[in-house]
Amino acid sequence: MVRNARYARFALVIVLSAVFLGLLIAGLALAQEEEQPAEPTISEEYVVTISDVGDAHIEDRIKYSGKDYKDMKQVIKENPTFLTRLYTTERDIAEVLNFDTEMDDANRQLVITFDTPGYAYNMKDRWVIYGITIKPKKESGRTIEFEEQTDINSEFSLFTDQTLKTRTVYELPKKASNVRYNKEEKQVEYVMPEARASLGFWSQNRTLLSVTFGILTLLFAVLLAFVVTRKAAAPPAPAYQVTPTAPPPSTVMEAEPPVRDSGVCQKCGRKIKQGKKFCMHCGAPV
Amino acid sequence: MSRTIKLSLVIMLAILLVGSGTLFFIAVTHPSAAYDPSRIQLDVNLHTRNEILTCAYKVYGDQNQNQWVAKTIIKNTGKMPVYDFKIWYKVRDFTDWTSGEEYPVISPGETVRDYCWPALDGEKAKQITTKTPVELVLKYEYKGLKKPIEDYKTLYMLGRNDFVFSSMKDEDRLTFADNFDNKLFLAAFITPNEGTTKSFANGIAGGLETRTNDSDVYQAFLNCFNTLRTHGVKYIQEPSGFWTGSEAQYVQYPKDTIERKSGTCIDLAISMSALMEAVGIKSYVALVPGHAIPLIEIPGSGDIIPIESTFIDKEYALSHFPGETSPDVTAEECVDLAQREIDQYSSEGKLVLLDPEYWWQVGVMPSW
Repeated sequence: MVRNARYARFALVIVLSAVFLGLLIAGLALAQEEEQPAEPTISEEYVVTISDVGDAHIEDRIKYSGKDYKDMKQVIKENPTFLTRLYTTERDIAEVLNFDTEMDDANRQLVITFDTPGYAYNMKDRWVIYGITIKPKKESGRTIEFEEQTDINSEFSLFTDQTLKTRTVYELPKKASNVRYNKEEKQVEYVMPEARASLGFWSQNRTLLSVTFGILTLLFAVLLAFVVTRKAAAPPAPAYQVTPTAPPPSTVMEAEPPVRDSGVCQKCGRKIKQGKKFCMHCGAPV
Repeated sequence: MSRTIKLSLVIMLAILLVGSGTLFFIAVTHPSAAYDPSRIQLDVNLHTRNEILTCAYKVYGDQNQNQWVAKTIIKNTGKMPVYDFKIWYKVRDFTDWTSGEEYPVISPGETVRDYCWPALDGEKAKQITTKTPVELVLKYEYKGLKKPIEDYKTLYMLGRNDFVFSSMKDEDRLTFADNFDNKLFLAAFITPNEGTTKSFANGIAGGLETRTNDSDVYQAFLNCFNTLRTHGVKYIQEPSGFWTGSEAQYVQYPKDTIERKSGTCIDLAISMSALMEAVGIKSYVALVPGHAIPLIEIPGSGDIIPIESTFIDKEYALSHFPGETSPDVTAEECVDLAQREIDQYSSEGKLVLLDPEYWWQVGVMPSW
């Protein structure tokens, strides 16, 4: 009897302990669940591509659940300016250019694209993108990524309370180097080659080119003068063969000028090419 | 050297001479890349707000608010970099020159967006009672420029009591909330620390624990209603704010309402909000179609309690809404009535809630 009572007490303790443990585990699980941030219902990918002169092309992809996407599409169909009106002021003063929205049914996402001139500021020794309050999630080369999760209630959530997870990516110019996030100033910084006048090759190298071509011009002028003033060398005199001639026939003939074997005109003294019968200079017969 | 070779050399050298001579001429006469201010081409476009809400003049001087008064878009359209570009602004008679922003270099093709957040003179702003034109002056200079260049634009400062509900263009307004796009500026009218308001509030909440005790908080709310009634405050119809050229209203500061013993629905809602805040009770103002209702938050339960503040004026309530309440038009009845209004407008999506504490925290400070 006593033993049975002991068993019963023991069983009761076990059962109570199990119940207590179960409640404790359930409570802890519930508490943990409460501490966890809400699962994002809208996700956004915001890609900013920066040009060499600091202008940005922005592509904002906002992905919805099936129902929210359908609702958003319907609202935009009924009110085409539902989202564009948010950018009216910036568009009026050309701070936002080439604005466009598109509903991507295949991916259930809204795609907003636009350009913003002067997104990054040139501080001479570095370029700066201001106003980035969160630390980067990933930095690799010219790409720097940020992630944050916020609660929103705006046009983008059709004025319902939703959790938005945003991934922002900055694609910096190809020539960018020393990319870093400055956490004190809350800004992204990078270095670009120094700005120069974009007047082309001739302007960039004007002094060098002037000197080079000046020297070349002078050199060619001197050479030309030298060549022009230099006398062409006389061709070597032909070796005249003097052969003993038979005495002329004793016929009376008009006396011919004697043939000179020197190759020189008797009248003007110029050289006479072989085989010529007259001096090419004075016309005297040879 | 034979004649043929000589002739060939002469021709070749002549060609080289002409060629190098031509290139030398091009090189010498080509524009230099050296800095030459006369060849700089800058597009400097000044944009200003059409009007400034004088009631919230402090907001325009706060860089964190995105409430710029002017914005300049500077684009280097030439081929020469611009060095040491500096830019200043001033609102003539209301500010000195701003400290100036400096851009060490603006590359060819680069755009700079510069903003003007002027610290307007509070005492001078206080004197503005009607819409007043003011001149915004822009001045800029850069390396090599002989003297700074100035540009001007006229903008308007509204009267200190003028409130424009929305700055959105008509065609852009789609939701009920769009009609209250400027609601944040109403927070500037809620002045719990102003002397008259503070004194009045202290009389209401004397002996009550208004920070933590729920029933005392509720009691302070009812006291506020009853004290304003005892003080003789009457409800008045709002005059049109036609002079602003848009949907606007003349809004009183709590001090004005207490001293003048009268106010519109929004004046009364703002006054009750300020009086509650003055004794540490969190308050709100609900904007519904054609009407405004003050509310408080009970700290323990988190309940939001509204009250129909126009019924402070018992005669008005009884004459215009007979049967809505008992002849006493008690504060409790006005709470119930307001709750029904809030529930109705909330279900219709026609309610905008202004949380002054939030807007103060982000920089829309009480004006005076």
